[in-house]
Amino acid sequence: MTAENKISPQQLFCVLLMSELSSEIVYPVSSTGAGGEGVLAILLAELIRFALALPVIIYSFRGNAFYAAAYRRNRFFGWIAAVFAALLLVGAACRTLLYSAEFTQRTVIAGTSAAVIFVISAAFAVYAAVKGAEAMARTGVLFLVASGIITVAVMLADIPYMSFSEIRHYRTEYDGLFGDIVKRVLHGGDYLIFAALLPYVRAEKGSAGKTALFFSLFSTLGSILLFVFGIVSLREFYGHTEYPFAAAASLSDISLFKRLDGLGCAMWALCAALRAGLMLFGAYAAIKEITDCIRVKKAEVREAGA
Amino acid sequence: MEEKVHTRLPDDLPLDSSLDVNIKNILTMTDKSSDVIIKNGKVCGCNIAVLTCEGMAGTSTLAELIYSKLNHVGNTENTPPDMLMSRLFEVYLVAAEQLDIKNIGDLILKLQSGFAIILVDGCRRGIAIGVQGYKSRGIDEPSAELNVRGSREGFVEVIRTNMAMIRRRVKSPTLVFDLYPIGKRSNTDICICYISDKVSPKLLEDVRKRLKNVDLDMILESGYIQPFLEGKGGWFFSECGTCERPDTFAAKLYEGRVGILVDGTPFGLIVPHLFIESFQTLDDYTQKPFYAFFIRLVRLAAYFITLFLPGAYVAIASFNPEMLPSALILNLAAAEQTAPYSLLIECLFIHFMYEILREAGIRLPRPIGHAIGVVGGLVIGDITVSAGLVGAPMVLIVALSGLCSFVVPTMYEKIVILRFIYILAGGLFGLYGLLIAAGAVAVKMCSLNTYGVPYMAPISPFSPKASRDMFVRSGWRRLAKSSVTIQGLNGSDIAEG
Repeated sequence: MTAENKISPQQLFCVLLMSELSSEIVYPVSSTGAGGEGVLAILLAELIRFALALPVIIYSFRGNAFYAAAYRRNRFFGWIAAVFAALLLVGAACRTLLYSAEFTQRTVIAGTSAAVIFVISAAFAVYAAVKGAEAMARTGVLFLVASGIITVAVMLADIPYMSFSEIRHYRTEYDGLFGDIVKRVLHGGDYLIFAALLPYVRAEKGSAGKTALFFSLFSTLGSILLFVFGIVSLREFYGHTEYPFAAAASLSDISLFKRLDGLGCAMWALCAALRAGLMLFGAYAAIKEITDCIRVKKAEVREAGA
Repeated sequence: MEEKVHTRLPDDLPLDSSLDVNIKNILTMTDKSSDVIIKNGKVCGCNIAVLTCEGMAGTSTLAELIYSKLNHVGNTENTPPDMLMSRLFEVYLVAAEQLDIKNIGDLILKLQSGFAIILVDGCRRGIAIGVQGYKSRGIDEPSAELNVRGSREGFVEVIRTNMAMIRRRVKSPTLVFDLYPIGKRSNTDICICYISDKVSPKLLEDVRKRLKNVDLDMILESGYIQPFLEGKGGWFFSECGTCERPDTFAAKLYEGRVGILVDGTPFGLIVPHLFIESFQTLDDYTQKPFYAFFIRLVRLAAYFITLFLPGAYVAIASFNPEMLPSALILNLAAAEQTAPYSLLIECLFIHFMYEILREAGIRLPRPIGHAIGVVGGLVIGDITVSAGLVGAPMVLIVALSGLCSFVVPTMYEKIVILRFIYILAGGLFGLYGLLIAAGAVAVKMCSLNTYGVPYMAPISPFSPKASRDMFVRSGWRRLAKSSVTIQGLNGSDIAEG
């Protein structure tokens, strides 16, 4: 354990869950209908993502620095893996920010340009990334709790509008399934965050691996819950909206505030901005892991030469 | 000795055997200051001098402890100076606080701290006797930390009285006081206080190191050294708490914290200081747990109201009015219809006015200060609404947020600045802007580690054991079992030591 290893496995689980659920809410769903956006798509997409992340998950049961381990096994492969992961993470961060800006403009502040929102979110993401893994992990837990409370409040307030019989009538249209699975797989990036944050986890052997398994399970359950919530609240209108959560939340009607959609959407947009911050930090961490390895290797060579 | 202006007390200039040389050196060092009183005499055939500092030594104690005893020493026989000094030290002058002095620097420091110094001609040492008797304020109820039940005693300006007040509450050999002077010219006494079996050695070492780096000439208040005890985040969030009550101070020491008392101020410093401490008071521990829990929730709610209500009002009314019940929207629209400015400008203006009134109320003499409250609250508030400058709901918002800010007084400075930032963010970018600004502040707060302890602990990182005294305050039976210290919190980096 080093001084900078300050993330507990529980904090890692919370930030990953927050990241996954925020993407679930701020990314637009298919507007072609409720077809492929079903439970099957969620399950298959998660299965594919899990399979792709399997080397990292298996490694996380044994060690705490995936890219460094890859570098030790094969220098070239380690380098390529870290650079590729960093590029993917930066790309995913930009994508998250773009979608989040679009989502915020459409659901919270209609009068403001999406470009301005993008810049504000990006500034927040960069600030959070600069503050480091520890700060983002702690903040992520707070954000997850706050977003969770608002989401539960929205769901409870929507109960009068829910029609659970809709689930029975719902049929997955297989023609859109493939596209939706691909889309969901591409939404990801959370396992890349997991891999990059591994060296910062203060954990006993195997704890980080368990975190990945729990994350996989709970993120799938969370996605299914949000999907079912959207279906039972919006019914046949589910297929006509890009942001089912925002649309369903706009139905909420509780005594203190009439509607909670503005607050809920703003909170999840904030979570998405933190997700982008995590990705940016992940990109930096992956590269740093490799450069540290190179530095150590050079020092060893110099010592051996001396 | 060379005659020059002495800015620091020399710690390497030993006392001379000649009384005249010593007196001359002292007068040179003090630049013949009028408050240095030298009384010469003869005892057992030796010339002696009693030195005191006017106003610092108690005259009755001086007469009782020194002059009356010296008068009773037989003056018939001739005694060698060293033997006389030994006799004075061990036989004739036995006081509670009696020190052997060997150099001029120590001598002057003790003299100016209220000790009486006795020098004997032909002897290279002196005696310092504690006869301090300066006038000071009596022990009184603290002005900023009032409570319903419990002690009415607050710290005073005299450091030794404060130390005694803490000792009276913790009569344990593990309570340690480390008293020494800092400040190149003021030589202010400061005292590091800790409970040796509770404090982390790493934390204690860190505090000592930071105090060693205090490079100030004058230290007149604990606020002077506070920035030296704070880390990078200290420019906005306090990593160092203040305390006016000996009971609270002792309780914090028991949690493994380090306290610093400074002579001349009733405000002690406590490190590390965590965010959650701002919501805890001594009353929480004397009231029933259910009520303590309720009061803590009230404080927390007041904190969020004062911080976010104005910004949220501007954001919701400007960007998301659908969040409000329709009846309320109509009322608000009617009230704001006559106001000439946007909600953002209105809110900034009225909060700025409120801060001016508050500042005026504090600085003016008390009777006029109350008048300012009446004039500000009733006259200006009423007139601005009737003149149509500001909508009536805005006055209610500022009154409510102003009132709530006094519930957590230790955070007032931060609340004021953050409130303005949130109003701006909410007014420009609605709820999203407000939450992004609050999120950035949350990231900053979560990034802080004060002396190796997360500033936001035990909230995030969450410590289940410490949650017994977080928002909920468990009963004393459960609290006694947990015995949480600052280094036991999750994420704390000071455990090993």
